[in-house]
Amino acid sequence: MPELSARERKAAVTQLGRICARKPERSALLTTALLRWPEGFGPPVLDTALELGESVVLAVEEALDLDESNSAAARLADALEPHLPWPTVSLRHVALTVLLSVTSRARARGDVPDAALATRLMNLSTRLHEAGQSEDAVSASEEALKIFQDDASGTIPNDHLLSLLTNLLVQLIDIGRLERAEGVIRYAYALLEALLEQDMGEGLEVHRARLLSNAALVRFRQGSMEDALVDTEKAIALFEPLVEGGAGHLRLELSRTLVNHSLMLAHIAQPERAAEQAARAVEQARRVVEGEPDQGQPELALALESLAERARTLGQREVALARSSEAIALYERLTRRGTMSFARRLAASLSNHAVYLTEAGRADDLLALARRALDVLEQERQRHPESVVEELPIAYVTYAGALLDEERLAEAAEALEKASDAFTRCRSLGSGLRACATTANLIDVRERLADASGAAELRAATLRALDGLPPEEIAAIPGLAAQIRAKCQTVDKVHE
Amino acid sequence: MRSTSLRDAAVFAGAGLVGLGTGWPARDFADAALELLGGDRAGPFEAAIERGAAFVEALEHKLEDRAIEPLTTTVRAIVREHRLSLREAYDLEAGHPRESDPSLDGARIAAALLERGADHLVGLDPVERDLVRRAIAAVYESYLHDRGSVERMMPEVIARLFQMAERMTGLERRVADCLVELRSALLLHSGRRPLPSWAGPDSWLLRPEYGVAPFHPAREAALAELRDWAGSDAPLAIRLIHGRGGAGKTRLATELVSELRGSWRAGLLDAHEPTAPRAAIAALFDDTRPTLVVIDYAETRREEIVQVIEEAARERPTRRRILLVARAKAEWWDVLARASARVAEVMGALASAAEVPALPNDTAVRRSLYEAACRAYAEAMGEAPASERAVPELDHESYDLPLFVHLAAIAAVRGRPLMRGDQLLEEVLVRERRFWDRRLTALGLEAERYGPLVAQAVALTTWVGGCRDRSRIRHFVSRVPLAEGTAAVDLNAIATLLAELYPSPGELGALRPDLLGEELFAVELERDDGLYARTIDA
Repeated sequence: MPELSARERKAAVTQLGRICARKPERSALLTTALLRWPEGFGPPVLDTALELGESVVLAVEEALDLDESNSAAARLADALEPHLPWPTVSLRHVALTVLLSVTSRARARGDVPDAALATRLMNLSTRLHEAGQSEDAVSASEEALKIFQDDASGTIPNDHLLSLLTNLLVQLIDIGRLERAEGVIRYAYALLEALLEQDMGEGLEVHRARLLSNAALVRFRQGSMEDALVDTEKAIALFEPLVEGGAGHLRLELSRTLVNHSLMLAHIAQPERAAEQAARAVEQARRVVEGEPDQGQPELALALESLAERARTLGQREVALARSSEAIALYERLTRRGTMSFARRLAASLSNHAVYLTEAGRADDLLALARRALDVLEQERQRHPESVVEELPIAYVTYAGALLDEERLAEAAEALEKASDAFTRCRSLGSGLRACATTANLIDVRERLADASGAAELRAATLRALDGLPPEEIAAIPGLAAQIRAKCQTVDKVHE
Repeated sequence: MRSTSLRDAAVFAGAGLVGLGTGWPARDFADAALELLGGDRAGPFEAAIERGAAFVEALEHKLEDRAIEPLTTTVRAIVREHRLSLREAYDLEAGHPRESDPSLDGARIAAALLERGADHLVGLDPVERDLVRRAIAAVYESYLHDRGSVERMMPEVIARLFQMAERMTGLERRVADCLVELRSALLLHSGRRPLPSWAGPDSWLLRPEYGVAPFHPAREAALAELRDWAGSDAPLAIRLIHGRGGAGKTRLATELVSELRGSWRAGLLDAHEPTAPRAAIAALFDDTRPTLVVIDYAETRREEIVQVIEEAARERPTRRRILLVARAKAEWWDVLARASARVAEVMGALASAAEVPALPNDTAVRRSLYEAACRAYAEAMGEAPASERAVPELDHESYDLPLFVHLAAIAAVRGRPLMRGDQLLEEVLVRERRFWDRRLTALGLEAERYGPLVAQAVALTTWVGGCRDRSRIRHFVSRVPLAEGTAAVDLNAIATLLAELYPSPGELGALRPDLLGEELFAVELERDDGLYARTIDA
């Protein structure tokens, strides 16, 4: 008979979780307990993490992150694996760590990991990607791919493998790892050819269309515009007859491909054709939404955004505003529903709408829009702290700009301080540079407020921070470093 | 007055049966009885005791059977004097020779109660009558033989009793109604308990159920918000209030319940076993009055919440409100919304959440709260009201939690120097330890030797969420590191002491409020990292 009942174990872990949530410096009490009795405390801690949030999640991650040679950490991973709540948001990283630990130990033992793990990794990678954790998503997909490739028995359907390759490709494009994406494309084409040779071509047209659509995006990012256009057009040519032939479930993918095509056409200065394709994308997505209101809203919103931008290029300002408003309404609805995070896209849409309003000479709502974008991102940050790390500082800067337009200097200074603080958590290329620019602007605003305290030190610190940035960071936004340097040095000279 | 005595009879018979047998607090049955009787709202517990005692006396007289006498004595002497539930009373009566008392025989009690019930439970056929007799006998025999076993059989006993109520078509309507009310009283309680009359540890003063310090106007805005939410026209609404430990969430919810109870069916949902009949939850919303169900520790009770929401979502003519109380609005809230299609629909449209706000950084407000708490605690401790007490630096950040203002007030009444933040938690734990020492000395146990053992035992029992019976406390007491080599008789005495000090039904031996319990456990674990080593199967 166990010493502790299930109820008592849960209470015990909850107690440790609460101690950890109140005082993170005491998180070792929870971590130690998990490693002392992984089988007993592991399963209930997953619930406790959902109940109490980040501090408990971090303690679980800490327990799992111990050296792989630590047998208690391995036992904890094994104890957690069957109980992982798959639709979770906050435990995604824990889930990934657990699955990677299980698979890597299986390999170390000379075993081939269970094919079922690959499916779980695939599902997990999709959710990680949805939550904006693209690096983790790629890790999960790559591990799933390894398991597929090791599956000598061939029990895993080719269909799954091709879907995995497409997902991985999308994720790699998102984080800019184009070289690896090239490798995945080659592998996927080779697999497709082999399957065709083996006369296993049924259903392969769909995969070919998806592959072409994503390969086109890689070419586009690499600057091979001609190849990108050719591949996109081929993809559309494959999707269209399939959709018209009754494969209605592909209509949304056709819509997304048309949006990509529209973007590429806009890049090669064919605005009319670009607008035409965006309108077709809207039409396809709208047909899905009209048939099944719960389906296709994200795609419709994306197509509407695209159409708004194309209309703007053609000088059709009212069309741009109308389509943009429609997209915002859809994103608001999706964000409220909360099944998947659309906060980032809503915030981006709000920013675009602000631009359209400015161009239409209707600047009244700009501050409200910037504030709404900021609120959306702040709410998202409270729910999932890591999800909007990149967007938040930019939203603060935009908000500060709107405040400055209204001469609300003190509030603008406060917003810039928050932006500066938020930039410290960014990891994307150019963030360091933007942080320096924000500090330089903050110094300006403070001086306009007649608050020059510490300005000289702040300028010097900004210049030092600028000097410390690596060359690729400086090159990320051409010309910005020089502007910041000029601003700080000029004023310094004046002060001297 | 025949109908009144009939209702009294039914409800108190139920209290005697289920309350004594299963450990549900008799106080809740008494409150339910009073509501049914439409009695005055002033002092319901006092009035209930009077009615209960009078009823048992009358029953004793009528039956001319002395077998019932121990029950009468318990109701009158223990409940009135100690103001505790029957279950607590039994647990506290450590040396009572019940098990060897021939008059306390399950079958005889069942026979006596059936004879008494024969006046009221009309329409039972012989088979049903026999079932009732056996159920009652089983409850009492189990209880008398092994109190722990009652908890294990509780769902079955409750289910049987209510199944009988549903099958008693010949039962007088009013009595049947009483039994239905009783069923709700099993699940919904007021969240209030009378403060024991003997001088207990300081932690008692801080427990929301005792309500020693008055509800302060500083929290009126938060209460008004809940009042507005409850009073809105919407047929169904769900609200989550969340906040840090010590923010006063439970007290806030209990105040709302107190305000509404009477004109509403309102109460805190007792944690029930998953096997509790779903029909009992459905019946919560069958009242002609609006219903408010409060679920404390909501984040840890998702399965129950799903059941409650699904039942509340059925079409009904009255308003239904579900108030959830939790530490954090973390992912459990999103997970809850995905529990079922029905719950998703209801939560998507009708759920809202709000953080219980910190106390405003307004020294006047905090000082007023502090002074009101000082007055209440001084009165509860039997101290003379002081005209002037030292006031801590109430603008310190730790005083944004009401619990810390209250801790400071207790420290001030106890004449301790000014302090703040976690020092206040440490201080109240120091006094708690001193109280344990005094009780140990009174029991003839050496405080210096056993005090640290009691600290470990309270920490461990608190860690596992408290115990349902004293034998389980005894188990944990024997598992702490300092228990090694201690005589069994002393461990038994310490287990009894824990049950006496921390007597909440279902969580005997656990130090509350939560923040105190958590601090004690953390401190004891940091002192001895082997604190729980002997309780795990590692």
